[in-house]
Amino acid sequence: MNLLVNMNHTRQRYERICKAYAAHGLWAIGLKKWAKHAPLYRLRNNLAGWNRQRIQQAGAASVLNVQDISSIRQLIDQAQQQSTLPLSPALLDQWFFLAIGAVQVESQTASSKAWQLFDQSIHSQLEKPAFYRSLSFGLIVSLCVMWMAFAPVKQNQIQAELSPLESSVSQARGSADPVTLSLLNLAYQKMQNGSCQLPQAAMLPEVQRQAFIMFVTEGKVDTDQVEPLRQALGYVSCLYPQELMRPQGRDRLPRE
Amino acid sequence: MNMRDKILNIASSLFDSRGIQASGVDTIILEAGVAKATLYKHFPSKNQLITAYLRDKSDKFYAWLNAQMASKKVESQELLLLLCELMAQWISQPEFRGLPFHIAAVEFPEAEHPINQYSVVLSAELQGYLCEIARHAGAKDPEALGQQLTILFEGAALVERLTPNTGAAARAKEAAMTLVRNAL
Repeated sequence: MNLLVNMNHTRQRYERICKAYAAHGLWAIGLKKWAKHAPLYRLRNNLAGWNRQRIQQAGAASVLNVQDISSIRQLIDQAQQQSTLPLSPALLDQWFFLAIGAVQVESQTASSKAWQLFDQSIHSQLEKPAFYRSLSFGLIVSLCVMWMAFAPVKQNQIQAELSPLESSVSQARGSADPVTLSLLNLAYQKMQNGSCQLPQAAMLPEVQRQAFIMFVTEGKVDTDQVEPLRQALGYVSCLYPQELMRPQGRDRLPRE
Repeated sequence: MNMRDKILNIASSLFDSRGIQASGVDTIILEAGVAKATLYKHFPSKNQLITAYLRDKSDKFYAWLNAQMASKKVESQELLLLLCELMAQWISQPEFRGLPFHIAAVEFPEAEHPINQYSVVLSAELQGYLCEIARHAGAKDPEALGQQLTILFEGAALVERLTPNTGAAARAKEAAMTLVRNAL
């Protein structure tokens, strides 16, 4: 039973790590993608802001000149360079002509509808086609199914059997690997069932001694003290009496 | 050619070469060789003459576009690609002076002016025409595509006019085709 519990615990820890990595990975991918697209998504605001400034200086009735056209092209090229996305010249020209058209429409009608169409063109070109969106969704669903498949079957039973170490580790967001934690858990249970001695305790380095005392008195372990604790536990010597000889009232792990 | 057409032709020629505001009624009368009363008989005001000039330019454009598309006998999606090519051809013609509604809006920037208001009508007309072709071609959002193509060619027409012979029309064609392919 102890082995089964430990296996489940280890599996849960692996699950948590996998989930954390997967979540971080998806987040990182999303962030990178957003960072690449952001300068282009901001293009509309930049161009509209530039046009407002132009109108303030030259008047609403002012017609675009060669210098203005050059400035619009420059803003688009800058956004493209900042985004580092490989965009075709035809696409950049598309936004260039649309931007000039939008500036003219805004100047003539004071309406921002043309900018919405400009924006629509950028979004439709940068966002993935429906096929890729479906593929991404399918991938996420598959990941969820895999997580569910590896989830413990008797969650309630396992929760009831959690040792203090387990509960403290559950809250931890540390970097200790699950195998080490599993070994610590095993050691804790062995110490619960046996008469253990630590003759060299006084001679342990301060870090190991602190970790060990917290472990045996409160059943807790700090995430940054896992390794010193593991080393300290190497010095523990336990004597395990036969079950019938166990003193009355002593805590034991339940057995099936 | 009747008198009305003669006056309109002379006026169009002057408007194209000198600009609408710069071409006064007296100059038109002088160039056309007609009496003032004759001009006002056919066009009671200069605004009506300008409106007729803009209408005539638009009609000629649609007639040319329809004739070109009818001669190619293309269907659905290719129709939009052909349209992009024809629009690019039109704005790169040596006699091209800008889109009629753009000319009107530039010369009469006040939103309340009748000619400015007529330019809005002409712009909507082009949008409607392009939307209809987009719908016929099976675009996902024909309204948006029609409006985007209008704005794109309005921008391209201005660039072509300001910087002639720099390949703006050809680049506009490729840009419009990219837009069309993404919208189908």
